[in-house]
Amino acid sequence: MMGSDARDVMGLPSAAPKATPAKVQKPKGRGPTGMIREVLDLKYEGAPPISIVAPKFKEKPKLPFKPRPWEETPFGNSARKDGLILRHWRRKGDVVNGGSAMPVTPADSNAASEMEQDDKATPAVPDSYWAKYNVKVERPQYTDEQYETHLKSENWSKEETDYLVDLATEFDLRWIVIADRYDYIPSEKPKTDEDSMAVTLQAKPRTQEDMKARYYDVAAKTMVLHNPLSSMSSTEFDAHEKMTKYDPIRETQRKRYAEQLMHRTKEEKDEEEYLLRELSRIVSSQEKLSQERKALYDRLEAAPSSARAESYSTSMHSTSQGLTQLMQNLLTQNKNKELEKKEKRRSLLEGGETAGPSSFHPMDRSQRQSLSSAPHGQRLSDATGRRPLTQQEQRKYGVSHPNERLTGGIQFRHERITKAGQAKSGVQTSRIGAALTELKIPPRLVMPTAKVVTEYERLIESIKHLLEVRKVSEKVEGEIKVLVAQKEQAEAKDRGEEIKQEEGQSGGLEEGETQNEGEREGDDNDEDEEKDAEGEKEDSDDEEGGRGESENDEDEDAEGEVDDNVVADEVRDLQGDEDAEGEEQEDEDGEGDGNENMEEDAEGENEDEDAASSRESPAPTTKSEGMHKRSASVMSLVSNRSSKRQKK
Amino acid sequence: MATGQASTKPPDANEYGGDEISALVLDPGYSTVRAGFAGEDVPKSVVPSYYGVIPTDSGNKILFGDNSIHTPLPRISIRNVMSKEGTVEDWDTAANLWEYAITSRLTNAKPGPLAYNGLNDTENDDVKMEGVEEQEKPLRDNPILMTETGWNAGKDRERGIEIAMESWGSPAYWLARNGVLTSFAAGKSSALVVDLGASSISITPVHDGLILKKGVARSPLAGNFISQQIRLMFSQSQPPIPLTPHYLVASKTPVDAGTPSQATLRTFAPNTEPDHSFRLFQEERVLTEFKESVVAVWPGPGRLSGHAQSGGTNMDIARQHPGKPFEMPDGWNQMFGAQDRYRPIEALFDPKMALSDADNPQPSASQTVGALIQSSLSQVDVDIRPALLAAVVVTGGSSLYQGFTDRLNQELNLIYPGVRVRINASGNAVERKFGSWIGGSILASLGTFHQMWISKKEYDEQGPGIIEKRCK
Ligand SMILES: Nc1ncnc2c1ncn2[C@@H]1O[C@H](COP(=O)(O)OP(=O)(O)OP(=O)(O)O)[C@@H](O)[C@H]1O
Ligand SMILES: [Mg+2]
Repeated sequence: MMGSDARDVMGLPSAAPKATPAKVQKPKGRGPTGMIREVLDLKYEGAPPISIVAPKFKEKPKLPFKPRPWEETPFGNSARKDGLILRHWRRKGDVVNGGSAMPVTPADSNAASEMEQDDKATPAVPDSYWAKYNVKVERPQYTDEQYETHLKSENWSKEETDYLVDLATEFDLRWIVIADRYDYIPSEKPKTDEDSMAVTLQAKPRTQEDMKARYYDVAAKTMVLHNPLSSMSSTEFDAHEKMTKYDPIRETQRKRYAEQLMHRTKEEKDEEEYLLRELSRIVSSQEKLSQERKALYDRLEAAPSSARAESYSTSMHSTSQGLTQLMQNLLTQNKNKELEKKEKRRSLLEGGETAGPSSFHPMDRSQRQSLSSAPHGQRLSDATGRRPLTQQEQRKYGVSHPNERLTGGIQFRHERITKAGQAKSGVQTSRIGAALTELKIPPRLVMPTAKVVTEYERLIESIKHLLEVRKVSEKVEGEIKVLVAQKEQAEAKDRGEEIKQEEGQSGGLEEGETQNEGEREGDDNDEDEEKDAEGEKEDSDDEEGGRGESENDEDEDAEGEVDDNVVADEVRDLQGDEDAEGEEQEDEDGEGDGNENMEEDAEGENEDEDAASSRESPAPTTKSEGMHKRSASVMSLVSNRSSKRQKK
Repeated sequence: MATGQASTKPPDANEYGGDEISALVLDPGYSTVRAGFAGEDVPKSVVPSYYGVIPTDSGNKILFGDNSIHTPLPRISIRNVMSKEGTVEDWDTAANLWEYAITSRLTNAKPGPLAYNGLNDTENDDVKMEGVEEQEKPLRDNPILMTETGWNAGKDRERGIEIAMESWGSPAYWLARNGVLTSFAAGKSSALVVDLGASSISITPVHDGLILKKGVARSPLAGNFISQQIRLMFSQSQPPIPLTPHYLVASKTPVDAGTPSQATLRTFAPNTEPDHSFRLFQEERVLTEFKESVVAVWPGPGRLSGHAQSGGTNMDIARQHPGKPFEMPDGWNQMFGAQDRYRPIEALFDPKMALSDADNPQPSASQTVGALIQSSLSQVDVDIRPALLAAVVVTGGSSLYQGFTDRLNQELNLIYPGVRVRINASGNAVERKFGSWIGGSILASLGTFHQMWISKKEYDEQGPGIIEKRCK
């Protein structure tokens, strides 16, 4: 339209040969409306909006391949014996199915020759792809003789057996089908005994179980005939086993039950369903439980996370690396703690001596919190779903919650054992050892569980006490003897005879022993005894020991000195700081110093130990020990006085 | 021992495949014969099993196919090649009917060599014609798979291969039970197939692709019986409902529901009237229409004759269900209440509800669907009963009534409360009607089926008896 308009305007001949196709073309595709024409005019500024398009047919698609015709291709099937040739449509040039031509092997020659006779057959038709799926059950093979000797049965004639075996092979041992199709009709017997046989020969009704039993029996026996048990392969043997184990009676019974099961009433079924549901519920909950238990075990066995490194778990310190790391930690912590301890002691003293161990609890707790963040850890663990251990488990894993003094840090039980067995003095140690051997307790514990070790410690403790007590009693006896002797001497001045009598009495059995002991003790110097005392203080707060000590001291020390000691101790406590620094030195000094430093030493050692290992507050014990010491010294004072009084 | 046992390893995807060899599948039924190429979804050729006979001077003229048998030709009578049992009765006509079904739609009649196509006939050369005959057989390129009922037996089984091999010249043949094929169509190798056709209900237990013959149960309470029930319902209602087939109606005017029709009926000149069988056949068409649009299955619970839990009879409850209008070819129309809609088919579940008269006695209780399934299952091994009940495949045109499968499920649950019953019924009416044909189509197109066919050669060697040996 546009073209013709333009031509009209321009006075061009209307039917230009080139324009014609355009004319034809235009209305088809994009015949511009008036609007578009105006727009186009603007755009091309008056240029004739003629598009010249030559007529074009749709292009022939260029295919990347050559068309391949389909052909009705004949093919054979090696699974067939009759050489049937079927046809299917195949692309020309395609490799047909399996591609292999029908094999003409000697075994197959029969079929092949037959095939060749077939006028349709060509020798090279390809074999069907599906031929390989032709699989058949092996038929149990037996000869007449074999049947007579091995397979005879009262119930089954050879004929029927053959029928059964054929049928079983036919249906590939699908017993359900075999039983369905089983229709044995006894063949006519020779005419001579027709009359007699016609009556007797009635096909017995056979159940599936009868058939199976017979077949398995025959099959198993023929299997053995062809291949003795010893040379069977395991699969063959399994098959044989299964066949010989078949029990038709049990099978029949089972089927009867199965049938009953099918005819359950609705109620029975509902009840069973309910029970099954219950069962599954129980089973599933049990599973959940065991899973939870497993998870717990896993958690217990897994190495504690670093977040718990501060806790008292020892498992992470079981490697040497862990130990050194721990050591490092402890050393840094020591510094802080020592400071704290001094603080504590000062405040304690300020709070007055009457303040019992209980007054330390808040401190104790806060310290725990700050140092080990144990409560925090506890909360954490709660968040992760860890449940607290039961009493039994705590015992099992050796978890303890000491609210009293804790020998801080890690500590191995064997250390505790050896430490317990050792006293300050070698003599004492050997005495303890002697006592232990007397009690038939080996020096190395056989089973050092936590409980046993505690008991062991207690035992050692008692032994020590007993030893102390013995020592004291000996000493007292000795004193008494001396005093008596003095008295007698004094009296002997009046009556000389009586003294001799007394001496004779004390020279008895007991006297001799005590004297021996006394002598031995006498051999030990002061230092030894001091060590004893220290040991006692360290391990226990026994008043008797203290008393013994003080009494021991009393022998050598003047009354005033003891008093001085107490005062000095108190003063030192007030000063406090001295203790904290250079304990070791003080310790050594103390040892060298003798009695005067005895108490200080004791305390020093305690602190030493605490500092070395514990983050736990040693304060209560220290304090109480101090108290004990004090009370001990007070008591000793009293006793001293009394003894002095006695002396006087 | 059991080398033939299927391996547990899944086969290669390639190995499932079909390998089509232009096989034909022929599924004759009482109402129709279905034919088509294997590998296709539906049979391309569905031809009535009824045929028309017109007596002429030179013997009877036989008519096949929908196009000719519905025309009221003079003195036409309608017969069926099938027996009331659902098996082939008139083999000769059946062979022609089937050939018609195949060649009219599927294959053409093969053109012979030009020299013998009749146009160049000069004189009859019998010897030559003999040789030609072989060439002209209609199915010489097509293996044919035929179906049979589960109870087909004896010589009847051999007739098919005789026809296929001798008259049609098929290269290969196979005969399969339609129950088995239906289970294949449902994708199952083991199933309990419930087939409600025209002539009979049949229950076929299938195990591993093989029919369990002892378990086959059947009864005549199927499409034809339901038709009869509808007829009885019509004739026993007050006033009787007239049943006028289409061909009799020349013209009609619309009338109100329930009022007599106003139609002009066609009249036939004496001696040109179609036979009574033609009228029955045409009435049957109306009844099928009625079945398709009105008849439905009482949805339960319980039976239509039973009592509802809420009191009152189920019949009363049914009366409240919606009705459906139906108009006869002559214009008579009426709203059929639900009690009438449920009535004709209730006898399939409850024999007491069957309408009866002198010619149509009441069915026995053992003929209902439930009883049939029960008796069928009692004949198969206990071990597979639950599996079969879990794979109940419903097929056949008469299973298409609304609510049928649900009702069947109820019935089975009542009979076997302790067993899980699963009904497998295609929702597609075509698949339901042609279940056994579709199964045959699948089977005959499988590559692995190639080795099953009975070849012409085998037939020639062993005779028709080969069917008994091979098609178990
Ligand atoms: N939609 C439908 N509703 C109800 N019935 C129907 C329907 N369609 C068909 N029918 C009935 O189904 C029957 C035909 O079913 P089908 O084709 O399965 O039978 P058939 O296989 O030919 O017969 P048989 O199995 O007895 O040899 C006929 O009686 C017909 O009336
Ligand atoms: Mg059918």
